[in-house]
Amino acid sequence: MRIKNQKDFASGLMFMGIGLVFAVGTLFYDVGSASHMGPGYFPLLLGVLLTALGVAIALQAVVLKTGAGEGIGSWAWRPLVYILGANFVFGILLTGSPGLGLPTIGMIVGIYVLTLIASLASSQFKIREVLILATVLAVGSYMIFIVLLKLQIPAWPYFITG
Amino acid sequence: MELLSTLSLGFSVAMTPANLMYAFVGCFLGTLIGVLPGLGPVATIAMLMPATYVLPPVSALIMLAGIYYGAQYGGSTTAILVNLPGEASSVVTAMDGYQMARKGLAGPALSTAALGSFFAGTVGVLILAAFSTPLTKVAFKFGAAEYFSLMVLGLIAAVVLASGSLLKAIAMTVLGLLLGLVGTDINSGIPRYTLGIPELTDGIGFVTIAMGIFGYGEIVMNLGRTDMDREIFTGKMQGLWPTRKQVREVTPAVLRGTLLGAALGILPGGGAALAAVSAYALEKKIKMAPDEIPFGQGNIRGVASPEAANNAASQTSFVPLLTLGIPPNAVMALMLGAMIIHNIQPGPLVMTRNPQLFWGLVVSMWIGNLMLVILNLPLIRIWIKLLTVPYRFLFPAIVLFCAIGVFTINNNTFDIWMLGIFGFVGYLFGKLGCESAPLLLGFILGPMMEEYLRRALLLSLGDWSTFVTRPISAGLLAATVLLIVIMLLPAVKKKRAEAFTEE
Amino acid sequence: MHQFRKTVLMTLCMALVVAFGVAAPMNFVQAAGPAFPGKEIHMIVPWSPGGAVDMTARMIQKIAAADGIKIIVENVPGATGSIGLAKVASAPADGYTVGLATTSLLALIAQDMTKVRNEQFSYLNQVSIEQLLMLVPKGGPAQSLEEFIAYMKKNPGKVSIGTPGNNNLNHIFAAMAAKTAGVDFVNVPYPGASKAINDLSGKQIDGAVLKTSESRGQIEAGMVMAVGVFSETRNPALPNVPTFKEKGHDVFPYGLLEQICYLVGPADLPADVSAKLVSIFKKALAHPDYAKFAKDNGFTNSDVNSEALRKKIYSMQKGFNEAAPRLFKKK
Repeated sequence: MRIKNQKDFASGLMFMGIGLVFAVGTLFYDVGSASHMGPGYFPLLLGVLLTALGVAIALQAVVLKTGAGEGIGSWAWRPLVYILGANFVFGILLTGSPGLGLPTIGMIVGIYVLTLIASLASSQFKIREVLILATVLAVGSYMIFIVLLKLQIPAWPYFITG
Repeated sequence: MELLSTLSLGFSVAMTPANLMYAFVGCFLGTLIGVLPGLGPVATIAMLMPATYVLPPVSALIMLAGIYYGAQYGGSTTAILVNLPGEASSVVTAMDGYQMARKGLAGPALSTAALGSFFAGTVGVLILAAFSTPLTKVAFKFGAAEYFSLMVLGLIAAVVLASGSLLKAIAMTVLGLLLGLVGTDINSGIPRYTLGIPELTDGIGFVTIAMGIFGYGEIVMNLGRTDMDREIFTGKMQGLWPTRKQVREVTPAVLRGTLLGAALGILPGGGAALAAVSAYALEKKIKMAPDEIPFGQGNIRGVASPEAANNAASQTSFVPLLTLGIPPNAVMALMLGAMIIHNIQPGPLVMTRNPQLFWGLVVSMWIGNLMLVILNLPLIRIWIKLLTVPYRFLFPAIVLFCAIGVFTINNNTFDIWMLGIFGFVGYLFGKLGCESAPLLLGFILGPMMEEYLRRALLLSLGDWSTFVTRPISAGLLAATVLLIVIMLLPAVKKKRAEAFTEE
Repeated sequence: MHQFRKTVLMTLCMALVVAFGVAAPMNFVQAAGPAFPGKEIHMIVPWSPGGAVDMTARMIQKIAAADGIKIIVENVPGATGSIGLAKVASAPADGYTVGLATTSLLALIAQDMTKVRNEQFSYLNQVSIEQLLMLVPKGGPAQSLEEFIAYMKKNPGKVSIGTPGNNNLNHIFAAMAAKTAGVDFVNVPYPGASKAINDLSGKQIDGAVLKTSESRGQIEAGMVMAVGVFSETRNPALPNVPTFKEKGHDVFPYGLLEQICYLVGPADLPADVSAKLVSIFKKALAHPDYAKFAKDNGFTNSDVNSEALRKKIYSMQKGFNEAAPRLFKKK
């Protein structure tokens, strides 16, 4: 059984999985009846529907000749890791993490780190350009968010603001 | 005629040099906020409120209103330029708008959006001024059953939106519905699928999902393509204005969008998103001219109509505010609050008790729309230039602004984590060829649909026939069935044609 | 041209950096006051901007500013106020972080829907008392309290009463109203007051229990009518509306329950800091502007603070703890 359309097949599996998770999740809630729906009714309905759709899509991918037959292709792991990594690190630096014992480092430092990490995702990384970009972004963000819009974002590390 | 006298009263208040300046400042700030992905008018208005205490109430409100409108215009700009819908209604604009930008048509896309919105806004203000009271009576007839049927219609329209595989579009819509259900169930007060995390008891934020899937997902997809494929914005830029041909194509679309948006905006809870979706779906189903670009690949009607619809809806959504004192959305609730701080009692009587405040505000909103068109059109040249900045500088900026923007919603880093997670999800969807727009629309409409369904059944004491015995609801459901039939007809015909040719 | 553009960009950059260099240090300088409060006080509002609590906070901010006290309002919405209040509870006990809590917290605690507990706070000042009203649409089948109760008796289990939110004080009072008629009712929860009042005006529901501030405008415009008020005394803003008590109906079998909003700080605030905060806020709350604000919005206040406030909250919590399991469905 050759899978004729990899993308659709994988999508079908994904939908099946998600649908099942939601449907099974309703075990914790009161489903109720059609005329007096409990909190679990609608999610159960939708979860089952999604699972059924997933099955249909996966089957269609196997049986019919849909799509150009192209595979999924390679996964862009490097950009993914760097972009998401930049995001997470920024979050930690911004307000600190009491669980990990990290104090607030603030937005300015966060911007530098974020820009550095994110730029690593590009194949054309030049440290000087990245530092200039980070500075522009840091200054710009400070002026716009903190000075102009007066938003409550921690800008500086804890040892400066006390 | 009463209309003229109220409007002229409004003009006299709004056109003072001071108030014009406040309007301008508001519009400028609003555009800035709208353009920065993730940052929303609510947070900003809240922060700037203390600064407005020293201003006279009308001026304060004019400035805050300018921020609101500016944010909407700015939001369309980011949706078109970088595929980042800042709010629900821009999701639809992003679909064809971004494709137009990729083909070098960012200028006409942006200017059409701006001009279409302005036209729709003008019509909206006129309707507001002239027909508020009778329109409310119509709105009152909409109970939970009617809203439910409307939402169903909207959902089917959301499926129509998609250009790829029908089954996958439906699945994405259902997935969006499910994601929308995460949070506290309003009818029973019980948190669902929140895994015990307090930040999830109010559900996943729309901006968080949109920024993650559209923003981060798109960036990773772009970076993943080899340099050969990564021509983000190809070809020559057409320049600012639409061609005469494009204008001819677009005008009826704008008219249709305006009417649809104005009608849907009146219903409290109807909303700009629903209007945009319906307008797009309507356009898609209208017979295409032979040389038109297909929808989903940069059809200019697909930008003009939803933009007109959502702007018209924003204007007419003031009808419930005027006649009932009910704010149509969070920003308006904030504005009402600002009125309270300035010692004005909001409510249905503001119109009669404080006419100069009220009409001054309404007129200044129209002036705000005008100012925004004037402000934004030259800015479009700058935005286009921005697109020529090498991508390796652009994308870290987008990553940063999404992260900060999302943080400012609740002052909570949890949102930044969610952003990252949805970034991964967005990339996954892109790789698997699943369209995200139906998911987002399902996400918005889903919880509302369930809320209305259950409330309708509560009120009818469990009787399902309420949906067809109530006339308006029955009518809407009939329209839905019709839409489904229209949708399936070409597919059925095609299958038959295929079956015949394959023999 | 290229060179010119480069120069312009460079100049802009320099200007930005200079401005940054000037603005940044200003954020470091702290007004070195001789005593508390030496810098801004953060008032956390656990609700979205624009709501009643948020507006109250901003009013206090405005009044206190005239006295030289700088307050920053920070909105930390979510989980019916729990997230923001959790933030207050875990803030350093130096007096620079306070927050606004409401009775909805007590309802949550009674049903174990939050990890926040009353013991995590120091009690400062009561800020408002909102009276809840029993509302009906104007021109509907019942236009007075007796008529409404009779209407409920005639239609047992069919009368719909809308409340904003679920399992809160409004819901409790709606249940009380039905109890006085001795029948069941259909509880219709709404995500917010606006939608509830909208449906009520459109006669989609038979009644609603809402705060005075949430319904005042519509009452004055003649769209809805208040037939009863859930408190011991009549609402000064609506002198013609009787209390349930007057008509012989007891709606407080679990003790006096009021919808109040109050200021708290983290537990273990030093006594002098706490006293200073209480006096600052007491002064602001006594200001005529605040009285006008209260009057315009239909709420009242009384001077309850510190220990008296704590006692009041704890006794209301007892009342909620008794009422909740009896009135609300088990999960």
